[in-house]
Amino acid sequence: MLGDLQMNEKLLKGASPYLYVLFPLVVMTATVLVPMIDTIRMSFYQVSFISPGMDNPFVGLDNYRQVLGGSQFWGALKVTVIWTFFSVLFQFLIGFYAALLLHARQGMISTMAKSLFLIPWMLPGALAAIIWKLMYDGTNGLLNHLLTKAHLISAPQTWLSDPATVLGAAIAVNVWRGVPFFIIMIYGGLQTISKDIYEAARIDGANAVQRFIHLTLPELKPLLVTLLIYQAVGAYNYIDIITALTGGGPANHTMLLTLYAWQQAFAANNVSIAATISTLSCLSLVLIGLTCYLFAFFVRKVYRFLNSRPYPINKG
Amino acid sequence: MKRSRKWRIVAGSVAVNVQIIALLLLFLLPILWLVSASFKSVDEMFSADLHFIPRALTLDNYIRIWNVIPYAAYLKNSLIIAAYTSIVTLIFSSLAAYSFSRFKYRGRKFIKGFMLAGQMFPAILLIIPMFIYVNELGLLGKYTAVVLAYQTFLLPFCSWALTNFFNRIPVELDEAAIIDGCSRLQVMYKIILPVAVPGLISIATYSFLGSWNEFIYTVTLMQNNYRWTVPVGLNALSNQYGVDWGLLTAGGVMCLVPAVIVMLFLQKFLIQGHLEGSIKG
Repeated sequence: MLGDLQMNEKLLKGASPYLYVLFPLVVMTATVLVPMIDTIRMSFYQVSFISPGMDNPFVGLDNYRQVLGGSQFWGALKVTVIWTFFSVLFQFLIGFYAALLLHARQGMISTMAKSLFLIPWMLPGALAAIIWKLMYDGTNGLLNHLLTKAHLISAPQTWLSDPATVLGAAIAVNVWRGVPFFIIMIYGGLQTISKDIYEAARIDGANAVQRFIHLTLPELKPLLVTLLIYQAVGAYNYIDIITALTGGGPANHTMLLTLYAWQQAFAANNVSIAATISTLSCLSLVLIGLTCYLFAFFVRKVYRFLNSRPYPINKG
Repeated sequence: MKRSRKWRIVAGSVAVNVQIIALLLLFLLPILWLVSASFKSVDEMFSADLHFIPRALTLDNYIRIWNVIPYAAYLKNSLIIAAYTSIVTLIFSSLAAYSFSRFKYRGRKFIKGFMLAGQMFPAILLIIPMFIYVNELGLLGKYTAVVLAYQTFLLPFCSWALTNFFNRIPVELDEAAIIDGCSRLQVMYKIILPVAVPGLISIATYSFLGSWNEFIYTVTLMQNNYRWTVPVGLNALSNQYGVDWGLLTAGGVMCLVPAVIVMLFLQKFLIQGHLEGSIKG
């Protein structure tokens, strides 16, 4: 017994672990840490692709003043927030609904459906955009055809060139591509909940809605929170669909912060401005995340306060 | 009484399955439409009355695509980059995972945290300096450049998932091998890696799909159109004035098929890895 333990200790220590982790660590440093610092550094300099170095003039906060002083940044921030919020909201609702359906009756149909639902998730975002360009086509797209036939619209719409519909249309594509992720993850989460507690609740007379609210939701809460954060961060930074679908247009109505930064760098050659927008984009995400966290914290505090009683009536 | 209860269960089952199928059809409609359109002539694709089953089934789009655009080059690039990425990710992530799983050392938690935190930084924050470095190193348009760029989002997740796989392999196996005279490196590739094959397959699949689907790094680091991957090539085609939807749909279907095959074949591994990532991560 003691021998085993000593053996374990010996196995777990030693100098060579650094050698194993060295290469992965070098790759991550070179591809993530250094570029990240460099992007932030460039946002304080006046640089170009030809001369990106430290020998360029240091301009302090000038780039930030220029970006924050213009209206385009704020427009892009608004579009990004709307895009992220509604993408994740509908991905979550539809994904949850489908996961509950798949979980409710397990059989051949749900097993096959589970595999097929994955298809939109695993195709390239750019291809998803192209598929929907075909669906949205202004004259004879399938969507216009079906909606006219169902008398929901009177004449074909140009979904992607009309400022009123373009952002919604783009969000729909992102929802379509993101729902499978929620289906699979929530379905997996539902599988881990013990059947016994449902049985107990049923015997106690809880109906389906009560079981959902008082059992399913609390059991899944940690998973759901993680999934929502993961997808929200993903959507905030996701550039593929918009780039291929609209390129930010018409007239910046779908211009995300990430695409705005990318275009400033690689189409307009404004490297410093692009670095500034990138930095601000990440900073805004952190600030939004922090605000949500604080909000949730206070809501919980208030909720606890309202529920607290001077004497604990029922412990347990 | 008993019969009515049975009826209710059957009716409930039908109701659920009908909803599943309806939702599934709604979700697959765009894909089916893409496949259907790829077998139509351009005239039929945009004629006023639409049909799912093409009136005149034609393979014309699938034949033309090889001559009109360098689709063979796109396909070749996509395959080479995906395979290259999978191998590189496998090597790096198994090295990192072996270190995290089998050793205790100063700074392990910090290094692990640093590697995992890597995936939180979006491409846009890294891509400008990356373009500059790649350009200065003369790697612009080289496969190695995009493979390294993909490591930013693949390596963190894969190292972490593999660490969990390795953690489930009992340390007693290592002990026995070391008593038998294996070195630590031999333990890794003779004992751990063979036992962790399911984990390695899931990592390779994840990397393959991630690479197959990647867009923004490729479009930035591959300037020459003979070095584009399929999604980048299709995007360029779709932005041309007077889009050739015949080529675009046929190209889209051929981009979709390998991904679907890989995915359906290996979905169990993939989902397992992802699920663990979300619950514990």
